[in-house]
This record gives sequence, C-alpha cells and structure tokens, in this order.
Amino acid sequence: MNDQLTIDDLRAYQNGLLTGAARHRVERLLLENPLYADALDGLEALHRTGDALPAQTASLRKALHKRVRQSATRQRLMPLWTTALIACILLVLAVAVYLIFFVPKS
Amino acid sequence: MASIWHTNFMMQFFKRFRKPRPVTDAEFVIAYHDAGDLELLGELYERHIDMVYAVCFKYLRNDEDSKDAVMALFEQLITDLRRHEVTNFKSWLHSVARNHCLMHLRSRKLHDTDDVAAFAFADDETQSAARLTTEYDTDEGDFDLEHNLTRLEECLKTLPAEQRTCLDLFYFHEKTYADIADSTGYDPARIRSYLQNGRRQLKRCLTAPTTATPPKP
Repeated sequence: MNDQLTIDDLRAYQNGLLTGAARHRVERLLLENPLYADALDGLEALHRTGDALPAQTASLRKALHKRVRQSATRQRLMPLWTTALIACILLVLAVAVYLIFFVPKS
Repeated sequence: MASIWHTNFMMQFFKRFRKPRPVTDAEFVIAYHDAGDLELLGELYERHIDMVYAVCFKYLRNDEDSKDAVMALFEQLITDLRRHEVTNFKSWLHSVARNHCLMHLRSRKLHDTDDVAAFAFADDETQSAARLTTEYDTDEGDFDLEHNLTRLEECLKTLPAEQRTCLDLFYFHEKTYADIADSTGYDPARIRSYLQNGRRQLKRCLTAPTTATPPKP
C-alpha cells in the first residue's frame, strides 16, 4: 500500500476534494508522518495569505535549475578538456613516431 | 536492414557503458553521495521542492524568507549528502528543513507566542542532532501493533473515552475526521488532537515494561 503523500494529495485534501477512503488515507498518513502535517500547516498558512503554491514554487524551480547549471558547466567541462588534450598529444606523438621511424627514406 | 541491425548493435554497445538512471529517492541519494553530480541532486530536490517550501512557510510565514530558506537548504544538501549516508531521505529532509527554519526564527528573535513555542521545540530537537545524520526515527519506530494485540486491548481501556472512541472509529472503522465528528458530536477541530494524544499514550503503554500493569483510568 502506498504510504507516501504528494503535495497534490495534500492540496486536494485541503480543498475538500477527497472523500471516503482517499480522505481517510491522507488523514492517517498526516498522523504518522510529521513532514506531511507540517506541509499541510504551511499550505493552510499560505492559503490564508491568498498566495498560491504553484506560482511560488515555479520561480524556485527556475532558481534551482540555474544553480545546477552554474556548477554543472564548470565541473563537467573540465574532464572533457583534459581527455581531449591527452588524445591530441597521443595523436601527435603517434604521427611523429610513424614519420620518424616507419616512413621509408627515399 | 543491415543499418537497423547496426544501429541496434551500437545502442546495445553504448548501453553497457551508461550508468542506470536512479529512480527512487534512495537511489538518487546513493548516486549523488558517490559521484557528487549536482544535476542528480537538483532532480531529487525538485521532487520535494513544494513540500519543503510549504514546511518553510509554516515556520517563517513569509514568502521571501521561505524561498531563501529553500535555496539555502539546497546548498546545505550539496555538502551534507556527500558527507553523510542518509537512509530515509524524506524524513531527513524534513528535519533538516525544520531545524533550518527554527534557527532562522531564533536569529530573527521574534517573540510572539507561536514562535516561542517553536523555540522550545527547537531546543528539544537540537539535543538529538545525531538523528539528522542517520535515519530519522519517526513517531512510530518499532511500534508493532500486530504483536501486541492483547496488550493493545488492555491499553485501549486505559485511555480517556474520547481518545478511545476516536482511535476505534479512525483505525478499526476507517472513518474520516468528518465522519467521526458526525457520529460522536465531538468538535471536529479536537479530533486530530484526540487521535494524536491517543496514539502517543498507546505507544507509551505498549512500550512500557510488560510487568507493569497499566494504570486504571
């Protein structure tokens, strides 16, 4: 049995969209997991201020993506550069060895 | 025909070298712990970002502060998840978020009653800081009802009538808060606290040494 709640479950519960077994399930998990109880309290506090959660978290998601990209480019490009550099040096060495030792002298 | 076979072969060949994508929270946590790939952590955090924001809003009651807290928590996760092995990510994230917000409140030095109550809670929490780095011990822990059925019955008898009735209707008859309020006439706002207090007392009674007889009501 699924004992995880999503933020959508909590919002549906808060808006009175759940009935019967679905409502009981949310209430049971609210008692068992303090995370959900805290999140629901937060949703209710947010509701009282007249703000909507999706609008608030959309900008947070953008900020998060930006933060991830910042480090990702720095960290990820480094190994690529080093691999490319090593490959170039090896190629030049191989060509040089071939030209010096294996090309028949005229 | 040959080209299709060739493409398939190449895909199979490259698949051997590609790491499997994590799916569950636990897999994400392990993958990030091992490799430190921020994109993985970002993906994991994004799954829970609404929940974290809601928790922060509960304590901070302010959009700007809550958003700052959500981003500050991500920075904290970047280092903490590399250092510690976290087994229950959701609960761990909750306690980290709650503690962060309570520390923030403390630094803001607000003195209205809600916050004073929250500070008292924070003191309680910081004393068990070790729990942050290991699996967060939820309320229930090793609360195993099935092995304690006989004791459960005895313990239920020791509870105040309202708590006993609420627990019975909620757990044995799977009624919702609204149904319980309808059938008992109790104040709907009190039902959650009857259930919470009842659960707490039941747990205390069930985990007490078996030789001690439960106190009579």
